[in-house]
Amino acid sequence: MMNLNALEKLTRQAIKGSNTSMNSRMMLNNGFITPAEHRSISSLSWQIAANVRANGNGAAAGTWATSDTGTDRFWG
Amino acid sequence: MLEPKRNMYSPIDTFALTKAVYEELKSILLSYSSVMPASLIEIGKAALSTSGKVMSTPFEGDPAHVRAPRWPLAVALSYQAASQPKDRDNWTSAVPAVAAVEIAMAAADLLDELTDHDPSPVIERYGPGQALNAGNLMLVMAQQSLLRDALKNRGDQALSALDALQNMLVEAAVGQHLDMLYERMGSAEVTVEMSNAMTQMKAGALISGACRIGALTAGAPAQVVELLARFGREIGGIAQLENDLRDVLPLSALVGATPNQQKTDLLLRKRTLPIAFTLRDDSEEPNALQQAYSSTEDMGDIDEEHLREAVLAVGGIQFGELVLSVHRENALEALAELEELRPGATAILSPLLPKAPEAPPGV
Repeated sequence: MMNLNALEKLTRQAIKGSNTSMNSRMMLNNGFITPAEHRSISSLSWQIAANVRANGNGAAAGTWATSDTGTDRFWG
Repeated sequence: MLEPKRNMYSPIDTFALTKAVYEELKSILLSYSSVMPASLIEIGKAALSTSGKVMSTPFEGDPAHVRAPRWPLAVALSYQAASQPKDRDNWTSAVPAVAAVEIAMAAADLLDELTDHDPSPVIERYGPGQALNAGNLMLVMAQQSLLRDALKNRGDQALSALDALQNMLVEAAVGQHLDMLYERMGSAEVTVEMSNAMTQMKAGALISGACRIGALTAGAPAQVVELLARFGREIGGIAQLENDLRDVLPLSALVGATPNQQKTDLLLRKRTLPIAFTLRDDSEEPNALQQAYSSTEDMGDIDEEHLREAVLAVGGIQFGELVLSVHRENALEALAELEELRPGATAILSPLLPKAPEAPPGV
């Protein structure tokens, strides 16, 4: 099971501009998050830092190309 | 990495698969002709022919243009991946199970459209009562078709597939119940864990169930079945999150897709992961979404784009993308383990795995 609470906490920290790498590494070492979760957090922090550099704003800016995920209503 | 070590089998021909499932569905509907009036069979056929379903496939023209619908592909590819290489060309044995899943999913879609008051050609044409009755009937038909297959052909394998189908429908119904329950809860009461568990029960359970059914029909050992079910749960999570993210992206940031025509998650006060994250924002000043969800005002009067911008500003989109990326990594891990037991499985299942976004350097 994914540790959503830890991911939520780390995401909020990253968005507020805190450096999450140490916290994320500590959570990984203590078994609170998985290596996959740690890598994803690192990737998110990188993206936020890139947004700050590009736009002066950590909140995502730009565009998303969304894929067509089909028409099944159950996903709605 | 995605290439099989030895290509000892042919990839599934999507045209042949779709056509075979179409014929199976027709035969199932016809098998009820002695007990059902033509008017009821017509509603069933209409539900099975909505956009993206097997029975809506235009078989005329170039067969290369036929794209296999999602559910048949999930079952058939899982069957092929779970089989030993020498048995991988026997995927037609999975067609009865594929058809059962297609019927069950058409029923689930119909019931979901009724629940969410979404536009639906079937409800529009036949009314909510007839649609509800047909949806319930189709859930029974899906199970009955697998039971009949078990009695006629493959016994234990089809019975195990029936058990998996029933389990996935139970789990999806619980997820649907929670989805509606959460709409009525306070704006910060639904945690991201609750939201994730709910969506995993809906989308995760369905794709996981479809993959499990394919593996069980192939007679695969438990370890292979569980790995495929795990893979399915992760890709179900990805599909659900892609859908949830599309619903909350500001139109100004959206390219390559048209906005949804039906009521969106925001107007329905849904608690998808990006929304739950935004509602639990602890900033001193409440954001626009927190204000709207706390208000008793009719959501129809609220500027939806303003709510989407709040989700973006608080980081709900980024959180959704983060969880999506973890699902993707988990799916790849399951595939790597499966590859050890069933070489070539990764290549077979790759059409089910959505394309990854470009990774930033150094990560």
